[in-house]
Amino acid sequence: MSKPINKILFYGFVIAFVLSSLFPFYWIFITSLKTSAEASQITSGFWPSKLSFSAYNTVFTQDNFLQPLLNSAFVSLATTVLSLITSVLAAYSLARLGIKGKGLILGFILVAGFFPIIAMVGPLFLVFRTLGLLDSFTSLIFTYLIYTLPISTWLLTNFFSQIPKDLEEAAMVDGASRLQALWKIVIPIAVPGIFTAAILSFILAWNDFTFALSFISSPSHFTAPLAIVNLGQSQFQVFYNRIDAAVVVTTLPIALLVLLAQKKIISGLTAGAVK
Amino acid sequence: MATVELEHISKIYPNGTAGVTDLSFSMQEGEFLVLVGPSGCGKTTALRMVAGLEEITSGSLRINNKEVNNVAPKDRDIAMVFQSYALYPHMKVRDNLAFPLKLQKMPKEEIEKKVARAASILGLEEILDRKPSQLSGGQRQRVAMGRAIVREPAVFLMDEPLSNLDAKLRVQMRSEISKIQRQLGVATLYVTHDQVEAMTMGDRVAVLKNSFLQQIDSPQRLYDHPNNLFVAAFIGSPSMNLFEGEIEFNSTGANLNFGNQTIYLDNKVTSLHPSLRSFNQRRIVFGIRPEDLYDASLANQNPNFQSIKAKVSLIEALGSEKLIHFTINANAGITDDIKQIAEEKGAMDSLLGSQGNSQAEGVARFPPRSAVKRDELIEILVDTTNMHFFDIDTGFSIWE
Ligand SMILES: Nc1ncnc2c1ncn2[C@@H]1O[C@H](COP(=O)(O)OP(=O)(O)OP(=O)(O)O)[C@@H](O)[C@H]1O
Ligand SMILES: [Mg+2]
Repeated sequence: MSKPINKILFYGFVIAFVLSSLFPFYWIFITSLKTSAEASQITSGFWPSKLSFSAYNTVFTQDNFLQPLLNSAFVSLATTVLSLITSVLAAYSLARLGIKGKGLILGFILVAGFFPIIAMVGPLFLVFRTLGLLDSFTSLIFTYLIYTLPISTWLLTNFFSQIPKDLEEAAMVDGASRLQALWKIVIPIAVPGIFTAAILSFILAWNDFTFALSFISSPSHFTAPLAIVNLGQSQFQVFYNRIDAAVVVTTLPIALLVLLAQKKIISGLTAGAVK
Repeated sequence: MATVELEHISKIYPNGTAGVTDLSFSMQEGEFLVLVGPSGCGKTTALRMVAGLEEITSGSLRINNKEVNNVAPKDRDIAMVFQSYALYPHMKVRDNLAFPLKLQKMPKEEIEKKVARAASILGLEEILDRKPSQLSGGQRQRVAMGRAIVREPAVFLMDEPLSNLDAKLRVQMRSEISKIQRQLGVATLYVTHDQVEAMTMGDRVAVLKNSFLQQIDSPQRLYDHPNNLFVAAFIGSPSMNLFEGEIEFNSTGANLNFGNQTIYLDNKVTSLHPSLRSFNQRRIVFGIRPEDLYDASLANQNPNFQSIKAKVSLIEALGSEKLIHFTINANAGITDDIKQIAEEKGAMDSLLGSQGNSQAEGVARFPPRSAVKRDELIEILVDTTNMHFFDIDTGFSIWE
C-alpha cells in the first residue's frame, strides 16, 4: 500500500467493483424514467432522451400497484412484530435463565434459520392446503416466522448476554419485577439489537417471492414481488419501464428504512453502565 | 431492635461450592457492619442473600423482624450499591435516581423533591442531566450511592463500592460514605476485601474465611483480641509478626524459646493468658504487632520490655515512621491461612523465602529518628504485655 502504483490499483479495483455492482440499479432507475417506446428499444441509451414519469403513473393507476404494496407492508409488519415479541422473550430466557442445553438449543435454532427455502415450499403447501390457509396472508406470515424467529432469537440472545446482569439485579433491588426489569432496562439497552432483528425480519418478509408465488393465487392478495412479475406484460409487449418503476417503489421504502435505522444501530450503547 | 438478622444462614451453590456456611449475626439499627475477608470467602454471597439475589440454602433471614427468605428483592426494603455501580446507561442521572421512586408510583413532585435532596447530599446537582457514559468514575460512584439513598430503605447493602476508584478518591469517599451513613442513620452492610477500609468504616467488622465467620467485633477489639491466627494476620497493616516458639514455665514466669533466643515472660504477663500454662513445654505460635517492637537505642527501659536480636533487611522510611524489615533466627508461624493472607497482601515471596531455613521475617514500626541501618544486627525491645499466643494446631488464640 505504500507505493503509489499499489494505491492506484487498489482504488481502481474498488471503483470498478462498486460501479459494476451499482450499474443494474442505475439501469433499473433510468429505465423507469423512460417512455414505453424508448424502454423497449434495444439500443436504449444510458440516459432517457426525455424524462417521463408516465411509468409511475401507469403503475399506480392502471396496474393498481398500491394494493400489493399495502399487502406486502401488512405481511412484513405483522411478521416483524410477532417475530420480535416472541424472539425477545425466547432470547431473554436463553440468555438469563440458565436453561440446560442452551448451547444445543442455540445451535439448532441457527441451523433451522438456514434451512433451504425450496425444501420448505412443498411440505408447507400441503400443510396450508390441509388447514385451508392457502391464498391467505396467514400462510405467508407463518412461513416467514420460520425464518425470522431463529435469526432474531439467535441475534438477541447474543445481545442480551452482553448486557451486564448487574443492571437487572439493580433494577430488581430498586423495586422492579423481572418483567419490569426486562421492559424498562434490558429492552431499552438492547434497542440496537432489536432494530437489527426487526430490519432483518422485515426485509426477509418484504423480499420473499418463492413462498408468495407458491401459496398466493388471487391477485388481490399479491405481495409486491409477486405483483411485479405479473405486471406490465401484454400479449405483444413487455413494458420494462413499468416493471422497473414498480421495482423502484418497492425497493425505496426498504432503502429508506435501513438508512434511518442505521442511526439507531449504534454499538456501545451500554457505555457508562458499569465501572 | 435489630434490622437485619441472619440465623445459621448457609449457601451451597448448585455445583456444590459452599458460598457461606452457618453465618449468624444481627445488625442493630443504624449500625455500619463490614464484611471483610480474602477473595472467595463468601462476602458477596452473604450480601446477595440479604438482597434476595441469591437463594438461601438454609437458615433464616429477617429484616425488620419479618422473615424474608422467600420475599422478592423488590419487597425487602433494601437498597444496594453494586461494585460495578450498575447505572442504567440509557437514563440520565436524574432518571437513574428517580427510577426506584417511579417504581413505587410516588407522585411526581415528591420524586423531584427527593431526587433534589439526594443530589445535594452527594453533590450531583451539576450532572443531573448527563448520561452515565459522560461521568467520571468518581461521579458514577456517587450516582450509585444517590440511587440507594433516595429510597430511604431499611438497609443499605454495598459490595466493594470503592474498589474501582483510585487510591486518593477511595480514601475521600470512605469518609464521605461514613458521614452520609451516620447522617441518614440507615443500617449498612458493607463488603470489602480491604481490611483498612473495614477498620476505618465499620462500627463492627465480621471477618470471613472460606465461607466461615471467624470473628465479629468492633475494629479495636479485633485488633487487640483476635480470635485466631487468621484474624490476627488479616487485620492490621503491616501484619502481625508471627513466629513459632516453645514455652517453658518456671517459678517466676515463663521462657519463650525460639531459634537461639529467649523471651522472658514474667507472671504479670502470663497471668494475662491463664490457659497458656496448659501449653507448658509445647510449641506455640506467638505474635507481636509491629508497633509493639521498639528500637532499643531509643526506648526507655521498662520491665515488660524484653530484648531480642535481629538483622535489618530493609528499611522503608515513610516520613512519620520507619518500617524496619528484619530477619530473625526462628521458624515463621506459617499455616495455610497465613499463606493465603500473605498472597493477598502481596507478601508471599518474603514469606516463602523464610520457610524451612529457620530464618523468619518480621516488621517493626520505629520512629523516624531511629538510626538503624540495613544489614545491621540490632537489638529490638518487645512489649511482652501486648503479645499474642496461638495454639499451633487449631490456630485459636490463647487467652482465658
Ligand atoms: N454462581 C456461583 N456458582 C458457584 N460457585 C460460586 C458462585 N458464586 C460464587 N461462588 C463461589 O462461592 C465462594 C464465595 O464467593 P463470593 O463471590 O461470595 O466471594 P467474595 O468473598 O465476594 O470474593 P471476592 O472478594 O473475590 O469478591 C467462592 O468459592 C466462589 O467461587
Ligand atoms: Mg465479591
